[in-house]
Amino acid sequence: MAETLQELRPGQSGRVTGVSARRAMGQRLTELGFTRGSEVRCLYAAALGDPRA
Amino acid sequence: MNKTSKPLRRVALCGNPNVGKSTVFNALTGLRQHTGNWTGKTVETAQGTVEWPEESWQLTDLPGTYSLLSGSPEEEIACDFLCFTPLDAAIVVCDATCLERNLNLALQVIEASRRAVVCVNLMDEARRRGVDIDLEGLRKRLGVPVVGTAARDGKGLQRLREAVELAAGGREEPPLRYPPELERALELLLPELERCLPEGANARFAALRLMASGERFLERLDAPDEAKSGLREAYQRARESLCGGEPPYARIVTAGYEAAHALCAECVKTRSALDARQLRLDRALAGKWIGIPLLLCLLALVFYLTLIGANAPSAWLSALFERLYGPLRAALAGAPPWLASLLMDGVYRVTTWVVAVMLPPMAIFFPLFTLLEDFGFLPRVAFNLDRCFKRCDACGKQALCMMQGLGCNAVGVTGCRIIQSPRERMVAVLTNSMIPCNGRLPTLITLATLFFLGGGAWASALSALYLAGTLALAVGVTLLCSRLLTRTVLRGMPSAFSLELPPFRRPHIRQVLVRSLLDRTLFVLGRAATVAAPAGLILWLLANLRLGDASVLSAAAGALNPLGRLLGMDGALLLGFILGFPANEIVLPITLMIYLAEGTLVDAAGVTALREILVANGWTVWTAVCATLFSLFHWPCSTTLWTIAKETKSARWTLLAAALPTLVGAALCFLVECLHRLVG
Repeated sequence: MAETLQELRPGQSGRVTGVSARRAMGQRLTELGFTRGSEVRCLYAAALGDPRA
Repeated sequence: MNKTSKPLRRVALCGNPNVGKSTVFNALTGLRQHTGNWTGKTVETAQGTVEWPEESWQLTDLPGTYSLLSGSPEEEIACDFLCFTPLDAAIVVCDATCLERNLNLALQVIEASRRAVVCVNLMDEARRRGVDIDLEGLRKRLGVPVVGTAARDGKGLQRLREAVELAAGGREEPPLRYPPELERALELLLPELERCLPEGANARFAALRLMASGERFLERLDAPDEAKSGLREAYQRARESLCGGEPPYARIVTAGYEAAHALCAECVKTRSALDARQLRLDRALAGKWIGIPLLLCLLALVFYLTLIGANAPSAWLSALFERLYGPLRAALAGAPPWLASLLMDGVYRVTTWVVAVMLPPMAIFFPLFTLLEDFGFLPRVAFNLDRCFKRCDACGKQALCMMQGLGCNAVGVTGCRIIQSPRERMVAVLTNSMIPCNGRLPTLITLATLFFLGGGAWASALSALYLAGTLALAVGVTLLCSRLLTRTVLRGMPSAFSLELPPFRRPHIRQVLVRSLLDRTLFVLGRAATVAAPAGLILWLLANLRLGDASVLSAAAGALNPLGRLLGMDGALLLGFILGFPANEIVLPITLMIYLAEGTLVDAAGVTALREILVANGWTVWTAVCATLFSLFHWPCSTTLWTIAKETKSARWTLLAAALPTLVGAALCFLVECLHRLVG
């Protein structure tokens, strides 16, 4: 079971329980819709493995 | 004189990035504004006038934002504008294909402005993907006019006008009730806020802003001190009343998204969850073995098309200008001969040279690039390459600036605005001119053809491959220099990388080509007038004024010889680079001019025994190698340097931007020359 967004593998889904990222990134995630209770899914990874969509 | 004055409305345009807001703006105003298919493209505010038969609008295009409350510079601009400018209406542009995320902002705008219109754009895309939107249902639930548009095709704009007229009436009720604790906290703030704000201001929205940004909002608030301290106290009490848990900002946005989710559940019907075809294409492009090779192939293809496409028009333009030379010269017969020569052999020759050499490749490269951009390909490139850049503590979006720099370094520097972090943006700006621009391609190709490749049937294809190779070298050096910068003067943590991957869209080919062509033509002509013409003047003076028994030009070349030789070149070539500061296209012509002791630029293509001339002046393959290296890595051209100065607003960084590539180039040339002397 993934604890952070980074650990989500392509194909996996999860539910957001909280946003603990530092200020700028945390705000960005929140305003994009990564709010408590919302569902997220990892679609695929970049050619070199990182970042992920 | 009978003047009928139409009523003037002040209207603002806001919305998430990448929803076609600029397309709506352009469709309404008819003004030209660069629209790209990736986030962060519109960072500045733009104004325009919309002329309807019944009325006029003064339309302001606000920066694209995901919310009004998170406090980033774009959001503060948008938020302040909506709160403090007297507006007749605020149009929120939404993307019909991802309405849920857009509605969060829409709700905030309705809260802030109370005279909002929701414009659901990209209805044609939505229809194609099987997304059905109940606009009437949305209107009932939101309580504001909702209009569906497909701005790309100009559809729905009339209804937008009618909606704005309706909206001017305003609405009283807030669009959204927040959870009870939050509402109570807002209530605590209202009385104090009303004391601090001007008459009639939207106190509820100000309360939301205060809860979201806290101290920052208090600092920026313009109010008498005792009113502010009262407000600060009220704010402390409000925060305490929320007793920990999530920060207020997160609660506000969560409530917004829940409301948006509920709205979409009722008003939006999707036939397929996520467009399968789009996803397949995305997965394919991000594939380990496909992603980057595909990018390289596409680039080589763009190069190839630029090369073969530009040859004929360049030759044609040169011939045309040559034909005009005679009659123009004759027209100046009445003027003193030195003036005629100055104007024709100096100014005219250089200006027409720059236009003939620069216009065709730019007119091909940039439209092709814009097509890729419109299609949605470029953000995927940044996505795939981000890891390389992260290793250098830089940002993947730098790759996009570098690609623009291929066309023109000045455009690439302006493009660096898409990088949010100032530190990473500076890295991108400083290293941009190490990517060869269109202006340097002829030099690189000529040198290659003469000394490395030979002519022949495959000349164009070989040249394209060769260029791809030099580009790979340039990219490698750029990454190394980026790393150097981030380990020394631009040290810092890499910022978190978030990039929006817009859906692949079929670009409007004809529109893109025509607009890009016009843009580029104007740019080249403008540059010719402001940069090339004066350069021609100076060049003529240097070539025709005598210092002793030689021209100033020859004397200078002689003086630079020792330094030139140290770098594997010679004084004439070095002087060519120096005098090519206004425009890189004239480097080789100037060098030839010096060799042949001519008073005017010499056309490299027109010289039959070009190689012989160079060899006669001491050129070897090694010289060509150094010339190529220095052409890749030397100071930015005047237009680029000027752009850097404007973007960085700092003399220090501009100086570094000039010094960095020069030092790299000099070092590489010196190394090659040392190698030459060891081996040769």
